[in-house]
Amino acid sequence: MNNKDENLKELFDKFYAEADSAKIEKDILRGEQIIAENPAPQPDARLISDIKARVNSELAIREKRRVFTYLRATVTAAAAVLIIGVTLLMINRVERQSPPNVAEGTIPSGIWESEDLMNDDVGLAMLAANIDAVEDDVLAMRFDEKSYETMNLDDVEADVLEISDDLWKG
Amino acid sequence: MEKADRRDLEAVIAGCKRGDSESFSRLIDAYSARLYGFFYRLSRDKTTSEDLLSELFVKLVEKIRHYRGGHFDAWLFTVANNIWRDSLRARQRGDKALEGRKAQLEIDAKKKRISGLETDMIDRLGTELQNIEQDSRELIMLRYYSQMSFKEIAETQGMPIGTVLSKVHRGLAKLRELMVSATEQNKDEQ
Repeated sequence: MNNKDENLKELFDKFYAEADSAKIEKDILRGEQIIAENPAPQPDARLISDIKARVNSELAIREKRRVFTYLRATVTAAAAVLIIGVTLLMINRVERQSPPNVAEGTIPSGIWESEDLMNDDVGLAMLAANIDAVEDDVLAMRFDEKSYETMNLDDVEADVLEISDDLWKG
Repeated sequence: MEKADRRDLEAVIAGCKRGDSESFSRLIDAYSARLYGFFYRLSRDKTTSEDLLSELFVKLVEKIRHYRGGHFDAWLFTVANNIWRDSLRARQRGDKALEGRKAQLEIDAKKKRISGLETDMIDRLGTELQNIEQDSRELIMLRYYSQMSFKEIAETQGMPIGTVLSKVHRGLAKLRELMVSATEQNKDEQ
């Protein structure tokens, strides 16, 4: 609604006594009449043309900004999709590989896959044979006193040292 | 406003919201005179009025998207009044030299009045408007140039309608008194 549509009398009657209301309405209409009789200067054509040029320049800047924002959003979205895709691909590839096993790399595959280590590992078989021989010697010394007396203890010690060496060499 | 004019205005506003240059051109043509008059009557300065009018339309490029329907003139003149108040605050803060300039302008106007020359060129209404309280002057100009109803002015300015009525009435009554007195004084001088 603009001021031409409003009923001033009705409005003023709400706030002022009837006699005052009529006077106030008259004062307002006369005051506005004075303003109408003394018009303000008009803007000149040069000013209007300058304003239109400024507005057009502002519109161009806004359009550039809009295109830039759109491009930036598109590039960001594409980069995000690319990063997610590459990440998923890498995760997938890693999952497909078997877990790394340090022991497998250092132990010969024949021994690693063996069901009977005592026979398949030569070193271990020799070690076991030597242990058996020493055990025999110890038992012989324990049960045969003569042999014990005549047996060279240095030989037994040398056997034990040899076995110990072999054990640590692997 | 006629229905056809309203539809036309709606199309212009929709075009402005899309960033259409031609629609802005039409909006500028339709409202420049009234807005310039509004700024001129409040600032009483041609350069200030030109700057404010230009600033208003440049700001509208962004602001028009916030217009959500209703009486467009009321919305537009509320934006204009805010721009005027901002500029007034900026001037009051920084420009002390303005006081000197204003005083000089008043002396010049008085000299012209006394000499009886170029009487028609003196903006008597502009001079007398400066003798009215600032808030009354703003309300009077808003009502006259935006053609807002008292109810709309009260709503946009966040004031009770009774206060708006009272300020506009007091301001216009005083303006009439001052104008009559100035006319009589002018007659006596001649």
